[in-house]
Amino acid sequence: MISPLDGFLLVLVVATGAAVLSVRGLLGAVIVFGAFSFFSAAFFASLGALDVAFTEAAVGAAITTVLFVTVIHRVDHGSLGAPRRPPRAFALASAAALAAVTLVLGRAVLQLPPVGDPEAPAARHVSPRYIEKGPAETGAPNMVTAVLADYRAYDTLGETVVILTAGLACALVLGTLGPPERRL
Amino acid sequence: MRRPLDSPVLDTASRLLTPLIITFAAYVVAHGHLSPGGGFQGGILLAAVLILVRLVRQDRTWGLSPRAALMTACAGVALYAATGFAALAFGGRFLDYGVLPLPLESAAIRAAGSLTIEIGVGLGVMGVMALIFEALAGPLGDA
Repeated sequence: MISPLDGFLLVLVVATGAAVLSVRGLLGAVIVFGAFSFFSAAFFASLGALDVAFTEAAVGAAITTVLFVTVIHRVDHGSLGAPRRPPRAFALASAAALAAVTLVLGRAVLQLPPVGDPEAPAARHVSPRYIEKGPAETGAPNMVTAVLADYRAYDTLGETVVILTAGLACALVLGTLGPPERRL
Repeated sequence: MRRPLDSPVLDTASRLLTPLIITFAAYVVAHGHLSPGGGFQGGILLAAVLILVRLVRQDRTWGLSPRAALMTACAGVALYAATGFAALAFGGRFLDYGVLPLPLESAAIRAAGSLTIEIGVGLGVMGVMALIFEALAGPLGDA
């Protein structure tokens, strides 16, 4: 049900995810986080989701890491101080809540249809139409592009506007577009 | 980030990589119909080139200024929306490129329409990523 390669990549994803939390120092954590993104991208590629893997590798592993490192270089490390330990009761309650959520999600995962199952509910709705008619109607053999840029172009326009809004918000909060003396 | 990286290794590596990444980015945008990729990934690659050269050369005069980056991003989104309104103007529905009067088969017209919006997405993503980098990096090398 799960190939050895997928299993290996999943172990690496979980291990790097745990390492991000345990590494001392922000810079180290960011670098390990980049590795986490990269293994996630490899896992997506192994599942056949190449467009998603490409995006994860370019955004998650590359650009995000560079942005984090850039910010870490600019802020004063001393102002952050040593991380405070939460009260014991709070830590125990968090652990219990996490265990409960993990159990519920694990139970749900067991009930999911196998990957690639043509009888899965998600594969029986509009997917057959896109698969059968997509290349002929849109001229795009890559069905991901056919959906994103043609059938669902309206949603993609919204997503592009969301990205523009995020960039604008970032620039406005940091005063990037204003007079130089007010830039952060 | 406070002092220039005066390294011939980084300088040479970035000089070698830059044309390759730009070529690959153009391929990813233009070939998104046939292979994995598209405007989003291509835009990220173009932004990566801008960020790479800015980091290595520490030169504020090179690349996109924050204002130019914002203009690029807005131009990309405007190109996307304009494609939608063009379809509306020729009697179709919003973003229904099939009605655009191009001398091509219907599937090819729709492919041309979606390539146009992919270019819009690519410009938009490149501009936004460059803008966010400029915002976070601040006055590089000035301090």
